[in-house]
Amino acid sequence: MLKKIAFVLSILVIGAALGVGSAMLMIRNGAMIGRVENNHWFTSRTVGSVDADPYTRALVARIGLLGLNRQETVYFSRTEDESGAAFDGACTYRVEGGPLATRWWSITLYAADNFLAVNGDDQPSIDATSVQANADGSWSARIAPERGDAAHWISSRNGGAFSLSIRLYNPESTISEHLEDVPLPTITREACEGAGQ
Amino acid sequence: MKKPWIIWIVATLLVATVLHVVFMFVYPQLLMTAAMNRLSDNGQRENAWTHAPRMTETARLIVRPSPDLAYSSCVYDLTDGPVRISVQPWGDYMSLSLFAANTDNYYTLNDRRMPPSGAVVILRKAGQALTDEQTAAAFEVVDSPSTRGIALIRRLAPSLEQFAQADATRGREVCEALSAE
Repeated sequence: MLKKIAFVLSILVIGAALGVGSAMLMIRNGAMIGRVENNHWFTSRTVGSVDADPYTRALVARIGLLGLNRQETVYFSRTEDESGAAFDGACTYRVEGGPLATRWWSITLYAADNFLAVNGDDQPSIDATSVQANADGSWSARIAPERGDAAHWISSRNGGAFSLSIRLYNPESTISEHLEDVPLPTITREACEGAGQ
Repeated sequence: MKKPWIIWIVATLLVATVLHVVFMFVYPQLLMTAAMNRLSDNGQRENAWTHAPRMTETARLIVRPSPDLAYSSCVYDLTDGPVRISVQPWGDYMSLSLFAANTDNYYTLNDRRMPPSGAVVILRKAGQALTDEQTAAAFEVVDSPSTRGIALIRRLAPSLEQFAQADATRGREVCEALSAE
């Protein structure tokens, strides 16, 4: 009798651990069935929409609750620089972008807890209204713990292993229908505090 | 049992698969319910707008907030009937978006589609009755897939001055049960 109880109990306990554990792992690792990659940025075709699959819904609930559907707003996120190295709040990065076929855009830095980094700098983002573009539409900005001489700056102080989101509000169909081809900004690491590079 | 280990493996995988699927469906609803509770002061403030202060590093209500937008939220509950939402016009990007209890963004009205004087949207569960007068006064009548959900207004306000203007504008907006009229 005891043997049978142990048999059933072990099925339930190990089955529950496997089922819930694998689900949490997929949510934590950002599994999305409709995931779209674009030069280190990623998004989903189905964020916010009624067509979202359970995995996308779960990921959105964790990192993008109350996100709009892509006809209204396209959101891309990234956690690494052009070389594929994870972002580090102690490093300096150069952001280079060009014109985007959207009504308004912004780039915001989030700490690992998915909230704005606590640093007192009040510089968590840049947006289309604050960035002065060159005649050809190109622009650049800096992500770093200190502003230095940067004209456009996002503070990464206390950002730790931070991530970025770019929001494209009222995108033209060239963006919302061709997510993998959007000319999104590049982000190149220039130096790290104490690393001497 | 001739090969109990085969039964054990199959049964364990079956339990794991079922719980994996159930967890994936339940997880967004749990987080959305938690968000609705946070935004409504644990249900004390439903069918009423809450105008969030400017999003700064101290904001902890919703993950990944935009510091460039002025947010207003209304946790709606259609248990006692339809809810009326009014939105004021804004000189730049703005939108009213509706989210079901499973996180789906099932409706959005932005300033490009909105009448210049603003709009009234009536939110109801399918089948809930409205008078002709109520329907005529609405820009749109929207059926909510869930009894509870969140209405959210975003206004583009990247500067302190624009945020102050947004704050003055949004104070005139309404989110209320029609039965309260």
